[in-house]
This record gives sequence, C-alpha cells and structure tokens, in this order.
Amino acid sequence: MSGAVWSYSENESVSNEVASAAADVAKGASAEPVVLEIGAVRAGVRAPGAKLLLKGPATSDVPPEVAAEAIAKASKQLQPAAILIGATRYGREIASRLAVKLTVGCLSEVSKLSADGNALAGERNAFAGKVVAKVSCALPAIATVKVGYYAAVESAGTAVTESDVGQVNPLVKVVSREKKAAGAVDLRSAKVIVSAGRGVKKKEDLPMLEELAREMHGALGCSRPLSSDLGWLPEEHHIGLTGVTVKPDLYLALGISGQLQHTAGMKDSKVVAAVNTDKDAPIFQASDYGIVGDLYQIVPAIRKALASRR
Amino acid sequence: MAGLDVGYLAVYLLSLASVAVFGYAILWHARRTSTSIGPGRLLGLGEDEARRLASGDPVFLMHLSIAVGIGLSIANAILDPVMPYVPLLKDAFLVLSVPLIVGLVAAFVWRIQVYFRSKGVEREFKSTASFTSASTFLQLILMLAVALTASELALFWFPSLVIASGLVGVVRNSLVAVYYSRPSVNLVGNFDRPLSAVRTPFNLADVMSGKTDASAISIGAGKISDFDTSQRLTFDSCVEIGACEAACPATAAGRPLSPRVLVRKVSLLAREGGGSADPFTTVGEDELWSCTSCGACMSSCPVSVKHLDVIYDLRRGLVAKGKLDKEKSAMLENLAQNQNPYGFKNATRGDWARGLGVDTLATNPKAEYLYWVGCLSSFDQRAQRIARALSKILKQAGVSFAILGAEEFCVGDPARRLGEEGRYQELAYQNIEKLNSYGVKKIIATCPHCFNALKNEYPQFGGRYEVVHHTQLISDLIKAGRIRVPAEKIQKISVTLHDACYASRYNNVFDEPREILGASVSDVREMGRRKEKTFCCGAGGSNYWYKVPQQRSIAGIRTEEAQKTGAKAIATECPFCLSMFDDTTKVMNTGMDVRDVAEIVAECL
Ligand SMILES: Cc1cc2nc3c(=O)[nH]c(=O)nc-3n(C[C@H](O)[C@H](O)[C@H](O)COP(=O)(O)OP(=O)(O)OC[C@H]3O[C@@H](n4cnc5c(N)ncnc54)[C@H](O)[C@@H]3O)c2cc1C
Ligand code: SF4
Repeated sequence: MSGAVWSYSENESVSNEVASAAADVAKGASAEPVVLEIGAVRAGVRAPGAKLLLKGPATSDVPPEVAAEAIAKASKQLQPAAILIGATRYGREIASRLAVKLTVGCLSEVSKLSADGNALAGERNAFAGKVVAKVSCALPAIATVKVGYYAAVESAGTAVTESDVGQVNPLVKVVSREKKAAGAVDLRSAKVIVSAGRGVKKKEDLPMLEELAREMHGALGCSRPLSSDLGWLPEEHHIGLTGVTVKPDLYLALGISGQLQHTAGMKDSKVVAAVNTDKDAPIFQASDYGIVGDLYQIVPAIRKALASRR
Repeated sequence: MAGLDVGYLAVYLLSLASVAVFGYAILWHARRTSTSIGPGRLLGLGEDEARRLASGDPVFLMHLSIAVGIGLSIANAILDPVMPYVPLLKDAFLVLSVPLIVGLVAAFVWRIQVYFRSKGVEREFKSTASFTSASTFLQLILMLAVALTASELALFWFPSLVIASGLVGVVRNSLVAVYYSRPSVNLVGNFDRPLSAVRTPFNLADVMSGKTDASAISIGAGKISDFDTSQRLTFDSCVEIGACEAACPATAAGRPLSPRVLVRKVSLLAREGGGSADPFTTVGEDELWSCTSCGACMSSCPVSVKHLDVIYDLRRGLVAKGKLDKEKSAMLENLAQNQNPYGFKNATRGDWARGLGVDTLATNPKAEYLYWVGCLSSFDQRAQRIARALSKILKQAGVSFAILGAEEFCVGDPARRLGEEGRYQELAYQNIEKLNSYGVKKIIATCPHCFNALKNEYPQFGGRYEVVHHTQLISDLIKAGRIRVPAEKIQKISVTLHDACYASRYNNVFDEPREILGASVSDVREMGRRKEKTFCCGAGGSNYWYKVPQQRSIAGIRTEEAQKTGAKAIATECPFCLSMFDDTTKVMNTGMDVRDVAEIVAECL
C-alpha cells in the first residue's frame, strides 16, 4: 500500500517527535511523511516532508472530538496508509475516537515503529516494563507514539497543501477554565517524592520537608496517619494501599516505618532511600539506600549538601 | 341471649376466616417462591428459635413475644367454644399471656425508640419523602399489630368481652395476613441457611466447558429483573424491624449505608418501577462499598432477610459496569498479575519461613496438615509474626505440617466480596487444582477469611478438605496436653478478645480462642459485643483495600469498646483484625498491645 503517513500532535515538541516516527514508517511503507496541522500552521512544528493543513475547525483550542472528526473526514478522502499521533492525554483520545470512526486498528503507546507494505509494527512496554511486547496491525492503521522516545525531526520541509474539512461542531462546550487549587499535588507524575511519616513530630516541621521537596524538584507525600488521622496534610498526599500508588525515580521516606500498607503504594519506585532512627524498621527492606538516623539531623544535612552544589 | 349468640357466632366465623386467609397467604407465597414449609421445616425453625431463646437476648425475646403472642391469641380464638369444657386450658392460656403481655409492651416501647433512630438515619441519608413515609407506614403497622395482640391477650382475662377480643383478633389477623405472610415464608425458607452460603451466580468451569451458556448468565444486578425469586422474596420481606440497622457497623460509623434502608429501597423500586427499573438510581456506590460483609444484619434479622444476597449482586453490577476506583481496580489487577492483592511478587510468598525449618508440600508431600498462610501473613511483616508463632507451636507439639510457599495463591475472598466473582473462581480453581494434586486432606488456616472460603466455599468447586482455624487446633493441642503452658509462664496481663466475624459469627468458632487465652494469660476481660454478636473491625468485605466516606472509623469504635474493659491488650484471631487494631491503637494513643492468640501462646512456650 502506498499513500502517505500522517503525523499529528497538539503539542509542538511532541509533534516534531511524531514526525520522526512518521519518517521511519514512511520509508518502510514506501510512502510520504506528512505532518498534519489543524486550523492553522504552527511555526514551531517542523516537517520532514510536506504539511497538510485541515481547514475548517477553529484555529486554537480544538477539542479532541473535533480534531478526530476533522482527521477522519480528511482521511476518508485522501486515504493515508497510517496515522501516527503523539501519546499525550489529548492524543490518546483522538486516536481512539479515530480508530472507531475509520474502523481500523490502533497500536497504543508504541516506540520503534516500522512498516512494510502490509502492516504497521512497533514495540510496547508491558507489565511495568518487565517485558516488551511486539505488536503489529494491518495497514491502514493508527498508532499513538510514546512520548520522549524519538528525537525531533531535523529537516524542515515547507510545502503546505490544504484540505477543507468544513465546519465540525464540538460536542462539549468549555464553560470556563480554572487552575487546580493551590497545594494540590500530582504525586503520580512526580519524579521525586519526599515522603513524611510519623517520625515527623509536629505539623510545624512539615515546611522543612516541603522546602526539601521543592529543592529536589519533587513533591511531598506522606504515610496515612499524617493525612487521615492527624490531618496535617490533605488526603491526596497519602501514599499506599488505600491512597495513591506512585512510581517516582526517587522516593525518600523520612520517619516512615514501612508497613505493607504503605510500601504497597511505593514499592515500584526506581530508587528508594529511607531515613529512620530504628535500624530494624521494615522500610529498610524496601529501600536501596538507608540512613539510620534522626530525620531532624539528616534533612538539614541533605539541604545543606544540595545548596552547596548549586 | 340469642342476639349475643348470633353476634358471637358471626365474630367466631370471622376469626376463623381471618386465620384461614393468613394460612392461605402463607401457602400462596410459599408456592410462588417454591419455599418448602413442611412440618420438618417448621420443627427445625422451632428448634432454632428455642436455641436463640436460650441466648436470652432481650431484643429476640421481644420479637418472640410478638410471634408467640399472635400464635396464642389465634389458638385462643379458635379454641374459644371448647374452653368451657377444658378449664385447665383456659388457665394455661391465662398464665402464658402474662409474660407475653409484658414482652409485647416492652416491644412496643422498644419500637418507639427504633422509630426515632430510624428517622434519624433517614434524615442523615436525606431519604426521599416517599421512602420515609413508606417506612413509617410499615413501622406503624408493626406497632399496631403489637398493640392489638397485647390488648387481645389482656382481654383473655375478661370473659364478658369475648366479642371485643374476637374483633381485635380479626383486625390483627388481617394485618398479619397482608404484611407478615411473606416474611414468615422467608423465615421458614432461610432460618438455617448459614451466613457463609454466598449465592453463586455461575460456575466458571461450567461456563468454560460450555455446559452453561455464557450468554445466558447475568453477572450482577443491573436491573430489578436480574434478581431471582428468592432474592425478591428476601428484600420484599423486610418489615422495618430495624434490628439490622442497630447491628450494622457501617451505620454506626456514619457511613452512607443502613441494611434496612437498602433492602427497602430496592423493594420499593421493584414495586414501583417494575423489572426494568435500575437499582442504581436509588442505591449509591458508596452505600454498597460501605458494607464489610460482617453478617451482623442477617444474623440479627428476626425474619431472616438476606441482605448480602442483594448487596453482593449489586456490587457485581458495579464491577460489571467498571465502576471501580483506583484502589479497587489495583487490588483486582494485583490478584490477576501477582496472585496476591498487594502486588508483591508471589515468588517471595514463602520468605517469612526462611530459617525456621518449615517444609513446603513440594519437599514434604506427606505432611499431615497443610498450613494455609494467606496473603497478609505472608507479606506483611507484622502479620508474619502470626505465621512464625503458629509454626513454633506446631513444631513444639510435633504436628506434621507444610506450607505451599510460592505455590499458594490468594484464596480469592477479597475478589468475591468486592463483586468480582470470575476472578474469585479463577483463583479458587487454581488453588484447588494444586491442593488436589498434592492430595491435601487437612488444612489449618490462621486467616478466618481463608478458613471460611476453604471450608465452606471451595467444596462447591471440587475442593473438599477438613479445614480448621488455628485457634481450634491450638485449643485441641492444649487439651490433649501436646503443648503445655507452665504456670510460671502464664502472662500476667489483662486481655480482651476481639472475635473475628468470619470465625465467630460465620463459623461458630468462639469458645476455642477463649480456652487458649484462659490457659495462657491471667486476666481475660469480655466486651459487651462478643462471640456471634461481635462487632466488625472494619476490614472485611474488601474494605481493607479502599476507603469510604464515614464519620468515624469502625475499628476506632471497636477499639474504644476494648479500652472500656480496662484490658491492656487486644487479642485477635485474624491478621486483618490485627492490622486494623495495630493501626488504631497507635493512632488513638491507647497504649494497648495487639496480638494474635497464637503469638500469645507461643510466647508462653
Ligand atoms: C486497612 C489499612 C489500610 C492502610 N492503608 C495505608 C496506606 O494506604 N498508606 C499508609 O501509609 N498507611 C496505611 N495504613 C497504616 C499503616 O498500617 C501504618 O500504620 C502506617 O503506614 C504507619 O505510618 P508511619 O510509618 O508514618 O508511622 P509509624 O509506624 O508510627 O512509624 C514511624 C517511624 O518513624 C521512625 N522515627 C521516629 N522518630 C524519628 C526521627 N526523629 N527520625 C527518623 N525516624 C523516626 C520510627 O522509628 C518509626 O519507624 C493502613 C492501615 C490499615 C489497617
Ligand atoms: S453485612 Fe455488616 S456492614 Fe454489611 S450491611 Fe450487614 S451489618 Fe452492615
């Protein structure tokens, strides 16, 4: 099958990554890589070949169902061999809608994309990265491309063709946008988590740990007693079996004993370090690094060390 | 005189007719629901009631007064014409009527208190006006029936008022025929059904082999017509007695659940909305997740309403719709990927036994007992101490035992109680296959949830074993003198025992842990709610894995109750209870110690 390999992302830098993936796929499928733009051409988006501008929808703030409908309309007309979409939250929503509209298969969150004349193939992490699944799907096909895997496309084509997909009405009207309340944390996406347990003696000591979290570009979490029982921190900070499950690159447990109910929520962290006065505390069994010591001495020491590096 | 006779005859015939209508209504409901109400069943029910009578529970005595009072007044009305010829009979009736009248008056006063409590609960839940009035109506009917019966019994004493007494009886019999024939049938059908008998919506093996048509099974209730006749009988049988609500730990903790309100809502919806009505329009998700499956509602219900039959199917309905938050779906996911609900590598399941010289069945297939450790005692460092303690006891007593180690999978209880029947049966079949391949005959379990599933649920899927709870075995070992606590090793502490629902209420294991404590500590104190009337720790019914909105914690309520005994330690017989109280006693700064009975004994050896 020939035709084009389309790529799209609402995010400019992801768009440049997906365009690289499209270039790889296009080679195998002997097709042309084409970067999609919806509503307007963005200056920051580079294309290995040409750009295709879908005219009709608004020029900004396009809801995902509108983007999906616009791409579906254009693709019914122009019959691309494959459509690659950046696996952002927004992109995943477009891809799944598109797959249904076009009744074609969709590979999700894949990297190492390739194609031959008949199928689109890629790799996908499964079981928390313990195994790699090789997946493929007959062309025409859709894929969402793992963010952060591909380098951005370098060459910059400039040709722009246009396709008028007409007006697409959004299903959802945005009434207003509000910022998440201050203090709300998203522990699930934090790369570093500093987590406080009952080893912290009083609420007034928490700002010290908040500072540390900030200095480490991380977020502050806690064991359940600190949120549910003592009420020192909002519920959404509590990590564990009945709280949030997290997998940061670094989990620093300060004054946490490490009961199963807590470790069940953080055991998949890449690196776990713990500070506890009790050398037999179970947390040390779940840790890569441990300091037997008083957090009131260790935390200032860590902060000092961090400051001296800056 | 003739006038009186005609009047008397008319009232007598009316009374006979009203009794006949009641009898017919019972037969009709029994036939419609295929419930057996033969003499054998009635005799069994009589025995069961006598057993409960012996327990001396005042609430039960009041309910018994109502039932016996109605029976006595009906007998009196029927036998009235022959009374003059059998003087002793009348005297016997008169004597019997006195305690019954006292019981009925007490019941009436009790009902007033129930009324105010129930309205308080409804206000809290913001129940609709139509619900509240339907509930009030049924409660008034009950109070009326009580008042009428008491008056009728009182009128026994005034022979000249026989007509008045007859008329009171007719009105009461009519009320009873309309409102209480269904609950009577439900009671006869269910009184001896054990708490552990969970309705099984399908059998996975039959579905896989094609014996059952997969498209024909309904998994969970999505609409009223998904409930079968027995379930409809059960929720329609609630007459607002309110005993369940008083016993329910979820209601006590201010969670959005009352078993009474739940079954009544479903019943009213079925009546008003018909088979296609969606129960989730009136029953909330948090309401269903609030239940700990402790069974207090069912065991306290005088007419044997089976609340959990309804709750489980509604939870299955939520699971089928994918209405699971992160904690619940993570638990199910962990069961699927790691065979334990915490997500630890199952290969490490047996690590707690390292260095203890405990065999696995793979190395010692001839062991007499399999010790089924369970997930919490396998992975939780605190609960592992139970497993180590039991191993020490068994070794000292010379009991031949082994564990499965990494070959043990979760028994499946958390999945089943959550409403994921398929995952439960998958685990059950996998476990049974292994157990049968080793030819396991006897099993010891320290976790009452494992114990209950292995003992009462696995037989249905082909796993038949002799299963004992560790407290049963330890108590036997002490009695047989195979382990001995020397007098100087008896611990000088005050301990109160928290009965685990799944050991005591579900399986009548409550004397054994007391015998063990009696032999190993100096001072055993009792809480008011104990044995089969125990109060939940809050972890059952999968509640261990998620949170629901509540005003206070169930475990906290129970901890306070334990504190009131003045005991310095709480003894448990379930790793989940242990974990809950370990947490609350610390958080509430009670200074109390929490230990499994096995740990207590092991310390004395
Ligand atoms: C059903 C259930 C669900 C639960 N779910 C969760 C959950 O999701 N998440 C959760 O976290 N918990 C949960 N728990 C509670 C859990 O069992 C533990 O009680 C809790 O994790 C303990 O919190 P902690 O480690 O902060 O406190 P503790 O266990 O009291 O530990 C405090 C630790 O701090 C150390 N320490 C004291 N002073 C210092 C100091 N100056 N410097 C350094 N270290 C010090 C001590 O040695 C100790 O190890 C749950 C419990 C139950 C029963
Ligand atoms: S099983 Fe227990 S928690 Fe559930 S409704 Fe009945 S009494 Fe309440």
